Amino acid sequence: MSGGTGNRRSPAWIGLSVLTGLVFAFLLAPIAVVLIEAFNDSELMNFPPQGLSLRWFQAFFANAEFMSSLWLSLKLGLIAAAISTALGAMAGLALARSGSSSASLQTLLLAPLYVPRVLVGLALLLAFAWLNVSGSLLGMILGHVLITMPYATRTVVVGMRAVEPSVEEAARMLGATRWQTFRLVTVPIIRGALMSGFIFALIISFSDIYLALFISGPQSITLPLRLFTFMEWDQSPLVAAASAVQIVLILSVILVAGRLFGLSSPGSVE
Amino acid sequence: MIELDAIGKRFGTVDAVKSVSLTVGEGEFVSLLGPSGCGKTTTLRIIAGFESPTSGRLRIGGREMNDVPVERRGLSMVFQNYALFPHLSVFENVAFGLRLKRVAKPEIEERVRKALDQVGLAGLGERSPRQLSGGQQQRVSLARGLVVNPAVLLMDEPLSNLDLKLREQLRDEIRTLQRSLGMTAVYVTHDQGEAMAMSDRIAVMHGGGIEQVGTPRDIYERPSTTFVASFIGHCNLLPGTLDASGRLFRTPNGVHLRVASGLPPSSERGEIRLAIRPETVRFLADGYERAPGDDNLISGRVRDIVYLGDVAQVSVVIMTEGGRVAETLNAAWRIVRGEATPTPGDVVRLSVATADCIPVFDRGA
Repeated sequence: MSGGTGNRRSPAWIGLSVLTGLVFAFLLAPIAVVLIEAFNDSELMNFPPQGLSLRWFQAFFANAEFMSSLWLSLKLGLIAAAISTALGAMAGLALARSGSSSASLQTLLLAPLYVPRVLVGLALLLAFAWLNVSGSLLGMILGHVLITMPYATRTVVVGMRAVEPSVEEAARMLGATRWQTFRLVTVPIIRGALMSGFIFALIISFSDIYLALFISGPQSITLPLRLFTFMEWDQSPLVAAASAVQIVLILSVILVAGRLFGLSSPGSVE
Repeated sequence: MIELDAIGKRFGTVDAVKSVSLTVGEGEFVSLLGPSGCGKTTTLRIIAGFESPTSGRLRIGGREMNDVPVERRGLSMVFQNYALFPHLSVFENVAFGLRLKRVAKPEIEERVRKALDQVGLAGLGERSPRQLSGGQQQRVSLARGLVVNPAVLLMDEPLSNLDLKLREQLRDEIRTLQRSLGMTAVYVTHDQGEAMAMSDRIAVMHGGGIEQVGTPRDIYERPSTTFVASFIGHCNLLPGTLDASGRLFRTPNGVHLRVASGLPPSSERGEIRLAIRPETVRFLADGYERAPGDDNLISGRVRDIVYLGDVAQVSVVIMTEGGRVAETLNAAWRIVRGEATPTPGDVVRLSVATADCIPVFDRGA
């Protein structure tokens, strides 16, 4: 340690430590502000809070509209993430196993990332009106699969690189069909990557506002959209409490999944 | 056991395998030997079923295999990179094939234990493959392949990732195990020493085709093509032509050598060369004017000598009877402690038996 990393008291080391700290502070400060604000006692958002209370959490959980939006967002996120991950796994498998055409195919699969989300929303608005699925849960799921699939695909493709083709071939030689090989060998090896892809997709879906602005119907208002519209009329810390709930939800999903599956470390077990 | 009948494989415009015909007998150990890109691995993958031949027929155990998928061929394969399942324990790796065949639990237990025992890994079943050395991992792979009683054991350069000492040790173990089980084996390697040490027969491959098939001894002592002669061991390859009788070889510089029979006149083959192994060249003591028996007598001047331990490689510039300088011939001088070796500039007389002068030809691609 001491040999390779240099003197820990040197100005360079101290400077680097301070910089690292600042970057982390920069990244985490907004979250901290929201979390603190959620416990604000006052009627209006102000920082720092004058007094602490749980009243805005109570208000949030007591509000039927917020609750229905929360469930909708959760449902939507889980379904979209599951579909995206499944499709991403198939795409990842194909990309990892095909040679020359894979670069352009991959670009194609990641295409939704390159289009501004607002334009995707507008496009879906027009397309869904034509297909007659505007405002429906089906339409929302389709839209969310569209925007989350690139993330899931990307993660799975990276995970697939860790799978040696010969390992799958060994399974085939021992009597496994293609499907058995995928189920018994490929999926267990890439399950960390699959889980990471799933969580990425879930987070993207759960925090989307652009698609919701365009394709939500009166019966399908997602939580971010509900908060967005709420904030236009109301400046109470309820929004912060709702955000805090989201943050806690996402963090717990990541922690539980990480504990169960070992995120983004393809191939590692136990 | 295995019959390849004019098997060909074309990738786009490239013929990776060209009309390969080969029969592997029950319990036989056959190596496919050649440099990278010679088609040996593709041939093995055709037998395994990972590639389908674009022409020809493949039969295993008398059964037509062209359209049988990999998992129903009943073969096993050992890979160069071990290809163990990283998410399973050593025991589960070996049990994988048996579980797929729905073998009863106690029998799996029993057979896996026996297989691990056979490869010298008794008691390591609970380990993860990652905790094992390369040699141990390849043993697991071997046990995993053997435990299912395959019709044929296929091996694709299984020792190439191991260091020399271990390679030789595992080589002998695989051979012993294969013999004691009477297992039919096809082994792919680019290492001639490995192929010589392990095989009942060797198929030397080059440019997608088989150059020669034979026992290690055949291949070494009776090479039939220029490639085989040069790829396996060291060999002098003199340019020249055969006369009409097929018994006399003439080099461009006028060296005449009587040769082993067996090849038709040069007009019917590609370019002919004369293969002479350095160790078949004998140094004659001073005073010999004639070679013993029917052997060829060669006079020359030592140009260079390289000490190699058991022998010294002596390069001799041949001199024709007219005193002209001709081709160079490498000869192996057996080192005897305390005795002097030839030195550069010495004039030496050499003899080579007619049977050791082997005309070989370029196999036209």
